[in-house]
Amino acid sequence: MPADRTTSGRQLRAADPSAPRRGDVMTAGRVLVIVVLTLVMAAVLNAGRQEERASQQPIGPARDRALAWWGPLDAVTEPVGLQGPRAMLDGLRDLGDDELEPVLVAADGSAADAGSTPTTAPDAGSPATTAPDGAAPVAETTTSTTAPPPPPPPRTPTAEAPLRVLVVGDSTMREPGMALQQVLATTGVAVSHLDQRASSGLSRPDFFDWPGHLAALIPEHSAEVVVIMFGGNDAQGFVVDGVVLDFGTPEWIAEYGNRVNATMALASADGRRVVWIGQPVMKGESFDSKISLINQIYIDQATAFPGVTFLDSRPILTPDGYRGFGPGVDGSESQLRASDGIHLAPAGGDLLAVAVLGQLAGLGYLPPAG
Amino acid sequence: MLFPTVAFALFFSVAFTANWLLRPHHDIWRLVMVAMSFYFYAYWNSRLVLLLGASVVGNWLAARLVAERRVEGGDGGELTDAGRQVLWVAVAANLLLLGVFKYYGFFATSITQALDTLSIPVSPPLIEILLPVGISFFTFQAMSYVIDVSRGEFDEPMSLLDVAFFLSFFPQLVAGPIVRATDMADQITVAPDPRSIPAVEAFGLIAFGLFKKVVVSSYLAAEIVDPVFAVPSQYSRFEVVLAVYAYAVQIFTDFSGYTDIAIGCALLLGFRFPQNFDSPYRALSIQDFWRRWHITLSTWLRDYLYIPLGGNRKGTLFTYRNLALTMVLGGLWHGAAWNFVIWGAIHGGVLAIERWLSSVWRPLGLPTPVVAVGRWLVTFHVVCLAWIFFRAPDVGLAFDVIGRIVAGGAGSSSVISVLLVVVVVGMIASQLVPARVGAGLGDRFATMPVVVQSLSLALVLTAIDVFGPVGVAPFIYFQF
Repeated sequence: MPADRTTSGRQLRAADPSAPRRGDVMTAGRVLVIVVLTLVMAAVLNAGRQEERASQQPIGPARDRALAWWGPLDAVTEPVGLQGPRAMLDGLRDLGDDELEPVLVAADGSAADAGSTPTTAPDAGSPATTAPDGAAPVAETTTSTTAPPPPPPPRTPTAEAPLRVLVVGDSTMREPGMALQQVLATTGVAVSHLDQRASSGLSRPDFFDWPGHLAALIPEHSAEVVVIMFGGNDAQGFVVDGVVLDFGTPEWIAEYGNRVNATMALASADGRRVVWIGQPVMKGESFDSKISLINQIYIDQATAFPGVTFLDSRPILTPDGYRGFGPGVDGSESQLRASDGIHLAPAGGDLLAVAVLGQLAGLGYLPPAG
Repeated sequence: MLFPTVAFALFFSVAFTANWLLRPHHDIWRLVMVAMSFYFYAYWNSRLVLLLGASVVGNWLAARLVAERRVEGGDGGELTDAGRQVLWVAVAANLLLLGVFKYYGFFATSITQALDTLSIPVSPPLIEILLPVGISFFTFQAMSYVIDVSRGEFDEPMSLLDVAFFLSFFPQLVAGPIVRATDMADQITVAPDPRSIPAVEAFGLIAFGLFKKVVVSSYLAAEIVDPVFAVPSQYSRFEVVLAVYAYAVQIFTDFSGYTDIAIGCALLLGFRFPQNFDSPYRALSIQDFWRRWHITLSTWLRDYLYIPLGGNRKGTLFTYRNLALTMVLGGLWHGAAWNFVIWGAIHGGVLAIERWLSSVWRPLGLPTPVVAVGRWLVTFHVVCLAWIFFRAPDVGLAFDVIGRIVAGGAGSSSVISVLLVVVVVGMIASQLVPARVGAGLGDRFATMPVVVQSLSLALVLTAIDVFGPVGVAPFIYFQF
């Protein structure tokens, strides 16, 4: 059929008789002008927010390019008030929102400024972070001199006064978190709240400030137990005081260790029990070696807190290295891992949830299963 | 590449410009647009482009072979036995593609577990297979093309480039609507007038689609649906009921939002896709619901499954069987899980009941509005009941949700807010609003100067960004 036959926009509409008929046709040139102008105006109106988003990207050339574009645009448009409409809409959105003041809680339970890197942490008993292969300590973490007290003996939860469990983490917590909520509910003496945020972790508080968020969540839910799973997004560099710390360097390990330390202090303050779940084996070997380093930091830091229990997910899910399928909770062959080789499939989440439940029962927070 | 992203906005601007500049050069235009669509698909996983390419080549070849094996005659001719064999191979190959990528794990583990209970140990190879985004959509489109050729709906089968264009066209590639080759062939061949683009309608669809997806759907998911469906026992009966209603709104805003954006983008490129939603929660029966919900899927199932099964031509019982079978398979199309089978079975079962009722029903003399309200209430709640199975992560949890609604009980958590109730009720009620309200807005937009039009759209995009969540979740229907 010849290619030069044409049909009008009205004929286009006529293809669907139910489509509204309006005198609203435009030329392609006018549409292009509107599309381009809309994008330019949207860029100007949102330059500040886009600059913020650019700065939250993983350290690297893509982030540099984004900052090189959005930074100057923000600097030019903000002083002359071109971002005013966005600011007004932001204000409208925040009306009525509970202002969650981001505060960090030091090991003794006192509040600290969340905006800065936490500097107060319990004496780790010199838990200097070690490389995953067990090599010599590579950096000193910043710690305080007082060890936190052990948590008080757990009370016996009842249906009327159930154990209050807060479950938090990155997207790797999605499946185990949902499964944990379900198994906790079956005990009849526990209630839980799950808050998992994709792309979050402890490396980039500029993207999502977990310590600040936890400081608000814990009292909001009167949490007695906090179950945490981070790390899936943390194998990346970050900026501290204008200096880029590349992943895995001694400086990075020290800083990340401090953040883990402060988060453990915050979560376990006031006698709370923390179950910190380590990341499972990852399908990609290179990625797994990074995750192993992160897990080792969790293990090292957890030794400083009597109220923090590190739960190693690897023997539970992957005793013989990575596997996508394996026996589920009922022993039948099930898909344990998502096809991306990182996240858990529902059956994998069930396995981990049962392990957490067993851990809490073993510590006396819940009645023994069965 | 997700629609509500800066990356897609830039990609679309380039695609729009290339589309209209190259449209007079038919071959180059098709090549460039196919390349852009494949680039769009490669954004998720570059290796899966090979799969899409294989589907294009395989179905193009099958259609040609089928067309060559038709004998001309009255009523458009018919297929020879050899042609029928090629058709069956093509349909089977498409189903095999779906089966391997989408259902292998489900069937392998289900069969293993079933045989285990009979003490018959089997160990099929269990492999992790990445589900290619949009595979259900482009596979159904491909099958419909080959079947349409076999039915004589094309004088000539489409060229390889046209098939590639049709199957990969990026606005509808990953989540529909399910467009038929018969709808697209002429639109590919016949160039629309670049002076008559229905842009006001397109901009309206894109803006409202973004609002529904980014603001409404995300808000409901985070505020009530996700927490309540995770542990229904922690919430009161009222909260669980509201969560079910909220999910009905969430899935509608999510999917119809995607469809609106897809139809709007296609309109700007000179293509009109078929309508996919028509205020589905206004339906007064389940049959009516399926004329309004995911219309391109329901008509596909009708034309390529229900009618070939015999439709309503072989007696009452066969009709009920065909309805149930069509809807169960339609449920399974959505995902490899028993939840979707039950969801389909509920719809199929109620469709059969409605058909039976219509044959025995005698008017009770009630006023028409009362009957209409009653029918609406029953239909909406049957749809919501089925949504519980669609949303719950497993069948057990779906029954937990139903159990909580039936048995009641005090909740230990609270997710209710005035805004939440307003959004849920408002979005359901909005389906009763006549379409002319939106048309009025469009007419005012059409008379604005270009700069004001652009500023209006920029402010709408800004508002959507402000009131949306941090980061945008993929569309629910991407997984299907």
